[in-house]
Amino acid sequence: MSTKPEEKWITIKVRYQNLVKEFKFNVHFNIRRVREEVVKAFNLRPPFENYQLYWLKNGAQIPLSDLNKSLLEYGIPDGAVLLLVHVHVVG
Amino acid sequence: MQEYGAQDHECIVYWLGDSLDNDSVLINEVYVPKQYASATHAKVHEAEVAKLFSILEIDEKVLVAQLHTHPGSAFHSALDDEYPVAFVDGFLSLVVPYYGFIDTYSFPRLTKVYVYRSGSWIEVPFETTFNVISGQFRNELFHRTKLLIEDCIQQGPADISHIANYRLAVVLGEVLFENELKYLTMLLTSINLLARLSFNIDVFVPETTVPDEFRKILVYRRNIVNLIRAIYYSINPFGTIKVNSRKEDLYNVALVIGAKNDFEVNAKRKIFIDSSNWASLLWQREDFRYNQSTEIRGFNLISACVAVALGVAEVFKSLLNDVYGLNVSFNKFLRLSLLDYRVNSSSDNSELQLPEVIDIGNVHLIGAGSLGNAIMYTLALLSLRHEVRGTIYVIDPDILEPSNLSRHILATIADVGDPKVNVVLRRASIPSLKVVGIPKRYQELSLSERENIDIAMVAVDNAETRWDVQRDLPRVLLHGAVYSNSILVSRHDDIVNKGCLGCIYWKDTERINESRAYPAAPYALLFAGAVMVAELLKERIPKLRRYALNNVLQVPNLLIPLERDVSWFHRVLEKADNCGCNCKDKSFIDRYLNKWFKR
Repeated sequence: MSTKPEEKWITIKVRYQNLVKEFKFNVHFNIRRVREEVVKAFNLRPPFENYQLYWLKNGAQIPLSDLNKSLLEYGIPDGAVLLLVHVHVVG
Repeated sequence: MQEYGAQDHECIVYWLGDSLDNDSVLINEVYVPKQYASATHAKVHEAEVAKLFSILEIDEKVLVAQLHTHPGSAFHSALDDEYPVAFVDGFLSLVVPYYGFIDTYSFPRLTKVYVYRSGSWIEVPFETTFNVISGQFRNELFHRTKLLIEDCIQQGPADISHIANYRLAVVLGEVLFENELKYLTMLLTSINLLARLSFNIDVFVPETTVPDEFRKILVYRRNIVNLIRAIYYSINPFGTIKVNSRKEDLYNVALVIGAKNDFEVNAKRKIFIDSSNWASLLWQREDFRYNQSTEIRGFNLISACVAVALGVAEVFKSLLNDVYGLNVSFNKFLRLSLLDYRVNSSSDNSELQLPEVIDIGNVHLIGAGSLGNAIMYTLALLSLRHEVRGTIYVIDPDILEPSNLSRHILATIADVGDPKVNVVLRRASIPSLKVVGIPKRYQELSLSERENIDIAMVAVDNAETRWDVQRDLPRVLLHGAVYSNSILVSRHDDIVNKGCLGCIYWKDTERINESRAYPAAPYALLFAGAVMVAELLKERIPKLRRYALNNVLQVPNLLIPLERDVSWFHRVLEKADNCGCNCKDKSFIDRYLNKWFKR
């Protein structure tokens, strides 16, 4: 008999430049899924691979680069702030 | 940018700023990211962008624009279109030509500005996107502060650059957590006033989150450190304020809010302020400590405001003495009641708490200038704690000019050029109170409007309007005036037996040429505005009515220590022979009686 993962939801604030939005995510969502939802919510253009999430933890920026890891595995708590970024190039 | 250009490299920088309202941001920081740069392009990696965004989050700054250089002329390339730092409507991208080797005069003409809108970049003119704050603006901003100093020192032209090196500290210790509403109000009001008088302040305060209620006044940030900076720079972008940074060995003066804990700031003079119910407190004895539990019994944000005004007056006095060689005495200890205006009486009237709901009725505030600002600011502060109800009509035809900033407590640099009534509406937001802005001269109101005024608060700078309001016979007329450091507040509700406004304003009017810019100290204005609000409450709240001012409250010079003997502090309100309203005439008095008492 398999046990269902705990249904725990957390509220996360995501900043993209000056815009800030709040999301409710299950702690078992992986970073890939979180990234997709966030990019869509900010009306940004795919491909999703162009975007990267960072966790703002005690003033430091922690890259959430393992897309298969869950929020829980990264230890991201309720009320955390994530930063959505992409590369900036000029020419 | 030129450093990169000297190596034949393009360069990316970002302009950060402080949001002043929905439409304006004060750009006050350039952020240079780590980048890979070459002659044909520059690149900022995700980790660096994340660092930039974390500054926006922690310091509550706004990213206004990305800038980058080109070796030749300026234009937005396909690469620039595709890979900006953010795709957000309204975001700006500037392209600076010739690797930035252009002078400041040419910068606005040669730099191309693009705005991102609905998926594309559109070129916009520099001059309609940015307002450049010039050195001339700085002179205008401090013009009246200069006049004030000259009026105080009476020694001809004053060089206000001397105050730039004056080392001033503002301190609020752990006492903050005993009453956040009161002490944050006092701290932020102190910063507001001092930003208009000084170029250099160090602030020491425990880190805390600012309650949401403070959105009602001026600008808001959730972090106290960010809020202090935002308030200061929104008023004075030319000065410097440091919060919780390294302490100087010795400050010229420290304003300490509350009795406990002064962060061990070392200062030649320490001025302590606090308030207890209706009493505003100020003291300077280093060895004297208020016993918080027995002496500070409650709070009232009007007396808190006046305590700040008194404290900032002492700071300014200290500056005049130290920088300009005056020798004005200090208030060693002061306990001023805002109920009966007695000095150093022991009672703070703690039994007379303000009710939770304060209904101010229908009020016409004539004048949204410096005194009108102080009145609305005090009302907005009151609304942090009380539900302030009623309707207030704010009447003023003028536009806010840069020189007004030195004393309009609600104004920020983003408000320059706006009608003064709009500034008041925008910066003093009291949701439970209906505030109606009327950008007209009082004389342009219809006769029926003028004749139906119940409570008039007169905060204008000309005798003609004072007399006109009085001739229209409002039921109660509250009047205030400030010239330099002198304050006069009067209340007129009995023109049968006592003088009207024309009787006191002014036998010596000729002394003041009201058509020229005149000096008025911002702390004196706050003092007068807070007193006028106190009088409004005494009119509206029955249990306070017996304390209503029945003569003239006059402080000839706020810089001279207020004394125990209060006889000089009040002036009897007698009918004058040369009254501008002829209120000795029977017809005038009959009209008043018929209007308000025989309906």
